[in-house]
Amino acid sequence: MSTAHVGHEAALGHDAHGDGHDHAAHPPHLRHHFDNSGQQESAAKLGMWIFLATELLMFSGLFLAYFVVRSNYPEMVLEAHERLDKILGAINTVVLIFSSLTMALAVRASQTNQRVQARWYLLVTILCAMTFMVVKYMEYSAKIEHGTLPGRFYAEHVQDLAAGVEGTLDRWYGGYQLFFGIYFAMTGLHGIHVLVGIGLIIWIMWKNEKGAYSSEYYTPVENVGLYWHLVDLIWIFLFPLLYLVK
Amino acid sequence: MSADAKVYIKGRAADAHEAHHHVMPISTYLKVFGALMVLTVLTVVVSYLDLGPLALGVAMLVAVIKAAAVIGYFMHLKFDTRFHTFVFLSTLLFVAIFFTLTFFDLKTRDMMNQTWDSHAYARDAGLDQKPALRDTRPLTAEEIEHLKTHGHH
Repeated sequence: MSTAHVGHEAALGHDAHGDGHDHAAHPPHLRHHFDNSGQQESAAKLGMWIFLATELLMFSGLFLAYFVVRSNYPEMVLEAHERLDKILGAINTVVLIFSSLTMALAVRASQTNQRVQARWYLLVTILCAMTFMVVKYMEYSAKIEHGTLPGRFYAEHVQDLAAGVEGTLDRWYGGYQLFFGIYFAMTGLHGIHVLVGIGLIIWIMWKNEKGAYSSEYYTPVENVGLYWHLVDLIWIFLFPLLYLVK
Repeated sequence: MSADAKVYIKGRAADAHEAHHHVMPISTYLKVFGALMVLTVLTVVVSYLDLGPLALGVAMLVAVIKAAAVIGYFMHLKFDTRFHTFVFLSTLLFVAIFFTLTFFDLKTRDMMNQTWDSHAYARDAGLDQKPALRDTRPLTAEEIEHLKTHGHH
């Protein structure tokens, strides 16, 4: 019994972490369950790519819903999409792609130990993300004002000159509310991702100010960057499908 | 001991520190951004042309090229370990299966109806009629009545 116990303890104390917990040899960012920084980074990035895979699968359900509605009611989608503001959509596309550029440059600045540069690139990224949300707010308020809401909330102004009546009617099955249901679900989920992204980039910026990142360790900057590029990627498909397609 | 934990770049074992040190020049980032802007303008221009059924294909092709530029350069997948490419491409494979099977179902329903002679039933019940759109049908008598009592003049 006692020999087995001693043997077990010896095994734990020896070799379990390679360098046997010599803290002088540990970089401060290295978690004790990884052998070295390279292994830790590989694990974190693989985890991030798998998370991005689940994000794509989640959005693919909405894209499929869009294509099903479009294939069932092509004329309706063509008419309804004309009610979206192409100019605002295009502005948001440019803003988001530019923020992707500044995010990529922030990762590069961390890679090359340029902490101050990283700060400014991250700040511009946050400002772009906020601009995107402001434009989105303007678009959403216009849609709400016109009553072009999803499903049973759809209440657009109609008039019949012959009968001399006008007002709002809802529950028009197969009408524009289907398109706006898809529009609000897709841009809404995307907008939530932008908000989460703003929070994550603020967190990264704060840690960067505290000097947490250097060319030796910048995995969180890189992973938040990957997330932000995915948000951009989804918009690259949303923009032509919702705003432009004829 | 630490040296036992391998890091892989492009499918081959690499030094643990090598993974950190692929730095792209800023000019590459700017070129990719420029290309993305040109393609964005292209999508907008194409949407104003009357390409008919081709429009969706062209718009999606441009979007796929833009996505590839973002993934390859901004997300560094081109210079990353091949396993991340594998994770990404297998996601696309499952999305493709998801789309293909759903559309197989939707597009073959009419065929099934005709084969099993239930098409006549669907037609008689009005199930094959797509609902009319707001702008293409007049208001019904009930709707006019509704507006007379609840609408404003």
